[in-house]
Amino acid sequence: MKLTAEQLVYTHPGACEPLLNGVSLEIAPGRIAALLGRNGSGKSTLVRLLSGYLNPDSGSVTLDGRPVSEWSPTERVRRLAVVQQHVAAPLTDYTVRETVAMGLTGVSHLSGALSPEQSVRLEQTIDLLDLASFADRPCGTLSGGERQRVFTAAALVRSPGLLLLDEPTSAADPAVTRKIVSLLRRLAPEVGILVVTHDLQLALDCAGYAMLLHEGRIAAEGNPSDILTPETLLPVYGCPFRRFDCGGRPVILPE
Amino acid sequence: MRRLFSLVCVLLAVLCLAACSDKHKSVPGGVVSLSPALTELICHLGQEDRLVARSTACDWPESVKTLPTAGDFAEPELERILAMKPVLVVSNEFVNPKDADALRQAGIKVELHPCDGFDDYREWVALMGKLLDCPREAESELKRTNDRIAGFEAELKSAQKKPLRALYVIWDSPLLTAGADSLPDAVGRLAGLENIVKTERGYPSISLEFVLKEDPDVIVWFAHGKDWKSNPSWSGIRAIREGRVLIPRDDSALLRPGPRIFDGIADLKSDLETMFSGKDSSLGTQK
Amino acid sequence: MKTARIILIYLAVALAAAVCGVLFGATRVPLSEFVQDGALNPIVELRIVRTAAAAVVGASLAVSGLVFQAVLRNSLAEPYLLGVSGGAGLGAAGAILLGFSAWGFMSVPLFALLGAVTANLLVFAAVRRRTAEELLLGGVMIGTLASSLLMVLITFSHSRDMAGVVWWMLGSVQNVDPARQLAPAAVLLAAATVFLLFRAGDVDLLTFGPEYAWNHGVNARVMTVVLLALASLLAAVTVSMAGIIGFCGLVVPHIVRRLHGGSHRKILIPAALAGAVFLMLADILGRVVSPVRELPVGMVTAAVGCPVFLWLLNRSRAGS
Repeated sequence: MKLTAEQLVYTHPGACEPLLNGVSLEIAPGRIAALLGRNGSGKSTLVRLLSGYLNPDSGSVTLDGRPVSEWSPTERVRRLAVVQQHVAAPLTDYTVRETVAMGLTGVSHLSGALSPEQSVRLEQTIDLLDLASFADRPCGTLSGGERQRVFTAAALVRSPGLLLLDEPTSAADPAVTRKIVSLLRRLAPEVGILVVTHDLQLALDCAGYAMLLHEGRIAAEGNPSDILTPETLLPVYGCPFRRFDCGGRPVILPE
Repeated sequence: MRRLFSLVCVLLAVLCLAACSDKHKSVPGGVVSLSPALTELICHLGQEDRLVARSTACDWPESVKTLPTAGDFAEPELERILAMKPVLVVSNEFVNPKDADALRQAGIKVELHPCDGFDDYREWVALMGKLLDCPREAESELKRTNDRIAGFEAELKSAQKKPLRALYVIWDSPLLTAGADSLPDAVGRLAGLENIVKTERGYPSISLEFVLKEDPDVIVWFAHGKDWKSNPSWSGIRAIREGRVLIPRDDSALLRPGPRIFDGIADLKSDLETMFSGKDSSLGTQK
Repeated sequence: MKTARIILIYLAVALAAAVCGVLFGATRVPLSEFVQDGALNPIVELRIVRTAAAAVVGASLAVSGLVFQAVLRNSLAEPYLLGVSGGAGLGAAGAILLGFSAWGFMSVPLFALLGAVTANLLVFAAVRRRTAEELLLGGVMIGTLASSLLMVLITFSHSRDMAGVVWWMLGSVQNVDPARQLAPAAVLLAAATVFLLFRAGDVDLLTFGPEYAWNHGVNARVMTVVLLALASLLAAVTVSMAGIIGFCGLVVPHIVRRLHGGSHRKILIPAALAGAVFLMLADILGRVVSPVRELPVGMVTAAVGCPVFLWLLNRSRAGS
């Protein structure tokens, strides 16, 4: 299973300059890819292009060799799951369990009832993301970090082969971030993962590949410990960084 | 039918500014009538040559149709009227009462009085006699009015029949009917009818269930141009099923409080007699 | 509570309301007179037809409103938003004011339906990016255009015909043809309900926004258009037979959602039944208030619905 983007160019309707200009990327099981860049550099837009929600001006996104937009929606989401950064609050509140289960009903429309296998899978996923203690609470009563985990669960419940996560830890406390990192590491052998993040440390800790977006182009890509250096980061973020070695684990911090 | 709605408006208007006798002096010059009934009355009093303009609804006698129009019934076109320089504008009411002020400011006399029954009609006749300086014609019209009404009442008395219970349909959807104090109610009474609507005044919209319960003997259909057979929810009404629906020969003669109204009543009466000849015994009785 | 149990309770209430609709009216009909000379009393027959019409119209409006609110993600959305009321008003007024109503009983309903569907299609045609928000704006614009055209018609018409237009716009279930209007509307309602039950998962996902729905396997753009068109058609058909009845499609889905949560598979049928009950009761009220006059049901729905809704709103706030 493989998601490939080639030479993507995308301009927002009404804008003159392209937001993304010639971005290529490959996501496949066995590797966690990290996508980094400043606010507004087009990271979330790239995720929307990869999911097929937006269509590029030029370039292509293919899922297993077929353009992603040509897949039937249900077949596509079986393979490719996306967790958005921001999800609109629905009109009325669903419980955590209902919200996670929607990840399954999105695949099988016809019956409201879950099959025994689906029920098992649902409870497994709820446990996997530590949601069991508030599984029957309405999502509206949860914190931002908890909601993020609920939507991650709703994406993972289908056992997708590819997973795109847009800032999965932006609202998480350090303990939850640690859990998510270990979860991603555990999934990585079977699931191709792309993590969009501002957390450079997260990229250094768990990604096998990182890509730095700057002004619509790829400023740097490759092994995170190779490219996340003060020299590459300075022109992108416009501020100096310092890198330490912490018992064999590289640590990078803005000065 | 438009005229009719304006009549509805008239009924809703404040009742009767009594025609005060010596205030009204004869006025030389042109007259504009914005009410078909008043146009008919003016012509009936032999003053047609005084008319300089009419409303779009004024269509009788035939000869008035050659006159220019000065607005719709109760809706004057101010500029056109001012350009004609009449001395008097008559109507039963104005949709926009401020129009009267505008005309009066231009020095035009405006007479606005509703005409909802025979008493109003008598007052209008007397007023016209003064305004148009034709007291003798007005006198004889007053006498004719009283004679005709007395004649109808005498016939009703001598016939000694219970009145037929009638529903007056002004409009079919919604079901608009003529209420207790309306002109159709007064007209129908002289023709030997009794309105099934007794508690409501004006032109109320009534429920079909009420009609089914009251089970009128006859339906007088004023909804000109509408088909009484086509509405399926009406089929439950016995008078509809049995075809006891009377469409007046000329509803303008019946619904216009003008000089032709007595001929209209006579026609209605004879049509009712034709419709119910032979079945009188079973109908016209209170159930 | 189990979905089946909820539906059974709603069904029982709906049946009770329907029985009341046949038993009570402007006049008193003793049970012994329900059948006369081997045939149904015409008053009872009238009540059966209008009660059934109220049920179908109320249910259609509630289902339509439920879909509108979910897809537009706005609890103020109502069935007439995408040009339906303006178009229907223009169609009906055109038929009445231009004299087509003389063609027969069905001419006004048909023109209203035609106007509603045309305005609705215009909305979809005029809006290029068919997101919920832009369709909503397009609907408001086309609706405004239709209303101003209606005003033009009214200006050139005479007051007398306007009474018919105004009454028609107030909404009434008194004049409904069971075979030519009620039966097709009931079939459409049933078909829409079945379709929506199959697609309830999509509706649920769309309440999280189109991107979320897309990421969970819903073709959000297509489903948005399909669902809004279906909901508008439901509204257009009810408008053509009963005029514009406010409030039912706005408030009933809202209340049902508050009571039973957001899963549309679970609340679709309760919402339909609640809409039916609401309009049947409003119609009964409109009939019994005066023995002679008839209150248009659209007036009753708003007059009764507003206080009831405010009460519910405050009550559920206090409870939660």
